[in-house]
Amino acid sequence: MTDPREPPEQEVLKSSDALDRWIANGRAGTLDPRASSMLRAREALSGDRPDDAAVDRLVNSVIGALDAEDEPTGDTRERGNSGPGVGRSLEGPDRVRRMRNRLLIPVAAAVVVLFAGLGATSLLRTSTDESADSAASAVAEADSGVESGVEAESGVAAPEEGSPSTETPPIGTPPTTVGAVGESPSDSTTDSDFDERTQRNDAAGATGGTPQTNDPATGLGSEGTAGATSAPTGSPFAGVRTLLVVPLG
Amino acid sequence: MDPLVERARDGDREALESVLREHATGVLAVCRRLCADRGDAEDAAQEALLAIARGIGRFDGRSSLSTWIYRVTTNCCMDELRRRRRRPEPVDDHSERAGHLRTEPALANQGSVDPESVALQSELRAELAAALESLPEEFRVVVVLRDVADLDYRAIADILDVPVGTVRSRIARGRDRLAKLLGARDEQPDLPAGTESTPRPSDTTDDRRAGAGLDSNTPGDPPEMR
Repeated sequence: MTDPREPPEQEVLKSSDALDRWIANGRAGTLDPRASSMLRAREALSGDRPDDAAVDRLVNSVIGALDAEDEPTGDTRERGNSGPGVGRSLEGPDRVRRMRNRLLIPVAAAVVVLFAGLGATSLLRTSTDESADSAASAVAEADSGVESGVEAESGVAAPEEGSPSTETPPIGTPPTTVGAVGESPSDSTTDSDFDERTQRNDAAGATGGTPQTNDPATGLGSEGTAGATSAPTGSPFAGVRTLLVVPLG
Repeated sequence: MDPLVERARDGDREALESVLREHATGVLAVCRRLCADRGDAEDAAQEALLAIARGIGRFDGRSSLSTWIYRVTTNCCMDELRRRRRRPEPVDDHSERAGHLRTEPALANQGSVDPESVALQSELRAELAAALESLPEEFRVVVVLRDVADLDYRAIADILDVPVGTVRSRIARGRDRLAKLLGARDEQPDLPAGTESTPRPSDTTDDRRAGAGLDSNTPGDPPEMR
């Protein structure tokens, strides 16, 4: 409900605007009584400015708090806080630091655990590779030993390069030529148990190809020393194959 | 942008300190007017200056520095007032606050000033504090930003995020109410000092219309007839 003694808002606005204009114009001219009352209230409000000592104390306490924030440790209430209740606001920096630590410590721990896991995985992989290498070399040694033993026993030399040698295939299989350049030694047998990868290695050996790397999965592979003039030795089964073929021939 | 402000933004501690010193008086004055309690006002001013120091790197210069500073200050005062409302208030808090105002060292140390004048000013200050506290917050903030911080309407509108017309209206009404609350004292200059320095109940916040009745332009009953 509107108070009948309350002046209309337009009049109040007019007086307030007049006061602002009067101030903006360098306080020249006259004011209506309501604007004069407003001016007195304004003067009372703005006249009482804080003294220099209070301002200095305030700024020093703020600077002290900022310095304390920059330092790693320290009591934030030591500098320039003499007023009652002033220190309440200075709890901020410590609180912020504690919160930061609470966040950083788990993150650092997680990073350490991650790196430890990566290192362990890398070590495990290296040792696996080494054991695969040693297994492959052991198989190769056994392979060459068997092969040389068979050759010595049968006295059959490997076909020369470019001269096809006819071998009798096992019963029920068509005859094939072994040792021709460009032919895969896998064609010389029907042993379907050969590993495909082993056959590829053998093929490279038959064509006098490039050295092969060990198959990390099986630990098998050729040494890359076998050429077209000798029976393929890249496979651990190469000697066995020869052993099977020769008696039939 | 002011080179000093740019240096402060870039992390120059001396420049920052200069900026803080330059605006600390205004910040503290606004805080004292918005927070009636002296301790609350100092806390709010300290929070405001810390926030200004921490955030000056993000000040982009779209508004003037003083507008930005008073926005931070106003927000800190509002936070402090909200905190105060949640705190239990001591029974004698009002009289203690008035005592703080009356015994302000800077005022008492003005050597050549007449003691009677000092007493009158202290009384005025206490009345002013009580009058401000009785104003609704929305009026108090705009009047303080206009008449203490000396900001223009546009800056106040930016700070409070309200239209300029609203600011103008609130300033006018706030000034009018404050003038009425203080009017009883101002309208009786010929009264003896003793009479003047003793506030009557009708002059305080309990009865705002009593003050209004003392305004010569207000069509109401004179105080003698109440």
